[in-house]
Parts: sequence; structure tokens; C-alpha cells
Amino acid sequence: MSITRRHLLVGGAGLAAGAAVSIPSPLPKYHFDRRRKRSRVAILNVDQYSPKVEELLESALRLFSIDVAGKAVLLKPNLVDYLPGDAINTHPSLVLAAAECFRRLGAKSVLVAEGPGHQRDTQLVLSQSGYEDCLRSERIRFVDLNRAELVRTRLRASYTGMKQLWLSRTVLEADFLVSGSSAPQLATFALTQTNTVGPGFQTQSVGLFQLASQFWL
Amino acid sequence: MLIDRACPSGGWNAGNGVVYGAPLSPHLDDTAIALLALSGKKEVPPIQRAVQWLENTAQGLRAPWSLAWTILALAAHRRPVESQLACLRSLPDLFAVEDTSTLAVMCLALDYRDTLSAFGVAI
Repeated sequence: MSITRRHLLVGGAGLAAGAAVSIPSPLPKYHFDRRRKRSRVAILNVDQYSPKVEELLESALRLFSIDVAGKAVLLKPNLVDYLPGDAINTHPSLVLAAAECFRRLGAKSVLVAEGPGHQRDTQLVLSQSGYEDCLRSERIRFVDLNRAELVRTRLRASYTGMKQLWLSRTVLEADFLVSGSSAPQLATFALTQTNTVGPGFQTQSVGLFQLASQFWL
Repeated sequence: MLIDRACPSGGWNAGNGVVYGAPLSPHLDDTAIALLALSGKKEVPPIQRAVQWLENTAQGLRAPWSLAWTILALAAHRRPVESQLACLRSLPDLFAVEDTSTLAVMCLALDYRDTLSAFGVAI
């Protein structure tokens, strides 16, 4: 039987296709998009700091149908520094309200953690911004992420070229992260579910809500 | 370089005192550490301004890290530190301090005479 050029072409293509599906790819198997097709965002209007903020926060959390029952919740308020007269931190009453909401939703524990990038003395930021007294009165534990224990964590992808990162044990042990940020008239809470089962650290955005006010801060 | 980087209001932060023409705020711990490094130059105006700023700002201070550095710096510049020492001793939750660097500088501040003497600073 003679082998024609057509036989060679068909055979070569088949061989290539077979190799493509059977030989492991050198690229990381992490090329899938975990984002939802449509982001879940809520914007709620509030006119002043009052017990009403707590009610509003709870109704905002219920919009996302989150289940935090029995889970460890970490609130990261985005403390930066303290400058008298400047609103650069999330107001402590908002964080207290969030803590109370998560407790009511059945969270196993709620703690506040932060690692200010500007002011090295985290305790100073806490005392000057009013957080220290608030957290103590509500018996909420605080962890200084700049000085707390770190854990070497293997990365699941290699986009950065790094194989591992040192991450805070406090963050790794949390089931649910709430990252806050605050700008005049707008307080934002990003809700993130974490998963530390198996190698590496995985997070999934649950949603984001903002409290907007013309009187905020 | 330290003198050049001083904040216009007195003291130091972790970087420049002025950026794009805007004066920046000093930090307690940076100011105290710079003053310790400059303890032999007490007559220079930016240093005097920094000591004044540190003394004023430290009133009512309750954060152990900044308070301890402040005690060491003020003592090195021969300023009274008894009220700051009393404050440091009476801080609540001192046993809850888990950070070893904060604990270390607190111990140094509580024994500030020997600490400064060990570093050759006469007070």
C-alpha cells in the first residue's frame, strides 16, 4: 500500500489532535472566570448615624441571601491613619452595626482586623479614631494584621510568577470576609466567601453594597 | 537628610515632610526615633520644634508603641517624662499586647535611664 500526501496530512492532523487532549498542558489549569455574569450591587440611602443604620445594614445583607450561620466573620474596616478633621476611616459605629448584624444572622464569631498601610502604630489609630472604646464595650476582638502571625500559602495560579504568598492566619481562618472602605458620603462593603479546604486559598465575591448619604461622615 | 525631611509643623513621618507643595503630618514614632538619632544636636531649630510637637501631642496618648518611643526620645532630650511613664504603667490590657516589638520597646521605656545609658546618651 502506498502512502499518499493526503494520508500523511490526515494522519498528522489526527496525531496532533490526540496529543493536544492527552499531553498535560504546561499552563496552569486555572483559566476560568469565577465572576458572576452580573455583579450583585446594592446602593442604599441613609441620612445620618443612628440605630437606623443597623436596620439598614441588616436589610442590605438580606438582599444577598448570605448564609453566615456558624461561620467566622472578619470585618476589615480599612483603617489608614488618623487626621483630626479628616474623614479617612470607616466610622466605628458602622463597623459595630455590621458586627451586630452578623451576630444576629448567626455568625459563630465576628472579629475586626486591620493592617494600616500608612500609620505603623495600629493601636494609635484605634484609640484616636474611637475604635478602641467601641470594640472594648462591645467585646469585639481586634487583630493587628501588620503584626499578626503569617502563614506561607501556596498559590493556585502563577500569573505573578510567585509560587507562594505569606498571608495572615487570621484571614485564612475566616469563613467570610467583609472589606470596608469609606469615602465622604459613601461607605462600601465588599462581601467575600473564603474557602481554605484543599491546597491554597480561594475566595469568591458574594456581592457589594454601598451606603450613600449626602450627610455621610 | 533627617533635618531636610522634617515636617513644617515639627517632627517627622516615614517619608518627606512636604510633597508637591503640601505639608504632611508627622507621626509620633517616626519623630521619636529621629529625635533619638539626633539627641546630640539639641539646639537645631527643627529639632526643638520636633521636641515641642512630641511633648504636646503625647498628652493623653494611650498607644503603648508610640508612648514608649516618646518616653525614650523626650528623656534623651532631657524633658520630663513622669506623666508619660505613669500613663504607660497604667494602660489597661497591657497583658494582651502580643507583639514582641511593642513589648520590647515598652520594657526599654520603663527602664529608660539604663536604656539610654546603654546607648551612650547622657541624661
